Amino acid sequence: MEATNAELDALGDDALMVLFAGGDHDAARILTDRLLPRAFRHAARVLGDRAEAEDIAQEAMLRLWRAAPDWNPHGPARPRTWLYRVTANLSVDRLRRRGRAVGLDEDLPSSAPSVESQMQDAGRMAALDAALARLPERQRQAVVLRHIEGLANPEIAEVLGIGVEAVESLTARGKRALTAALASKKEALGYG
Amino acid sequence: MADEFNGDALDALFAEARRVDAAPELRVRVLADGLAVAGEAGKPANPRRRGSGGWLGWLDNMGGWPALSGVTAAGIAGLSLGLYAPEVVDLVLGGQLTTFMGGSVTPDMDTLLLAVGDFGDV
Repeated sequence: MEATNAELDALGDDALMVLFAGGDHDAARILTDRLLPRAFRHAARVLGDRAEAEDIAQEAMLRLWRAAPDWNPHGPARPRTWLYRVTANLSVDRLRRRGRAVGLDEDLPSSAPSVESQMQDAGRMAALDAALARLPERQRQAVVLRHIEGLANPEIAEVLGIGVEAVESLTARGKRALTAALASKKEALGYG
Repeated sequence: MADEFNGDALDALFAEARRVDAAPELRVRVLADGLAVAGEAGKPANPRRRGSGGWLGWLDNMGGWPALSGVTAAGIAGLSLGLYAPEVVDLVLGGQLTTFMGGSVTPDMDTLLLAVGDFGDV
């Protein structure tokens, strides 16, 4: 007897992965509802490009589907964390390919467009993206995962493959840098 | 200067970013991929949609997929354009297509003949 939607909704992602691997289509639908928005938002803010973010999110979800048959529901990795990690890696690859990546923890390149120039005809999300784009790669990922996706520091550490203390440092520095980059644009952003 | 933007303003921007969602059409593509991987959709993984010519371009000009009531529109459009297998659309619609078609997403011959009959003699 198949599980009802309510029963499936109550299951964890691990259990849904097992059900999907067993051919349960509704499990795929619920996993998509839960995880796709996260992968998309993560990629969108890191890349600052909706179309590219859609590509990355679709590719990350495709890899999740392919991983399902071998998924160990009792293993240490959770589907959500696994997906964030794949999304992070795919996004970094994309950034490096298009040559816009800032080094892992380097200072801003002098050629980076100013926040002001990128905000002239852009909305609030574009302003946030412009400021995020000026952060070093890992800072950007850490800030997005912490402050937009709401992950706890240990999970961010797992996603990025670094220590918890490093995450704390990255998010603190990243938030300070964002604040500084956006500070002079408070009125343009509709605040104050 | 930075103090003027500290705290609430940045948090409000983050909150706005948290409300950003994936397009319904992306959800359909992802589900189609899932069913293809499961070996039951009968179609390969779906290509990414890049560019927006033709019908999709018209839709973008009309405000995109949200203008057509979201996921349902994406599913129906995908079905009507032959982009996705009926099983995918049915999954997107949470089984509504199965219910509408009387238990199967593939119409039987009686249903087809009945539909043809609706057009009368030619």
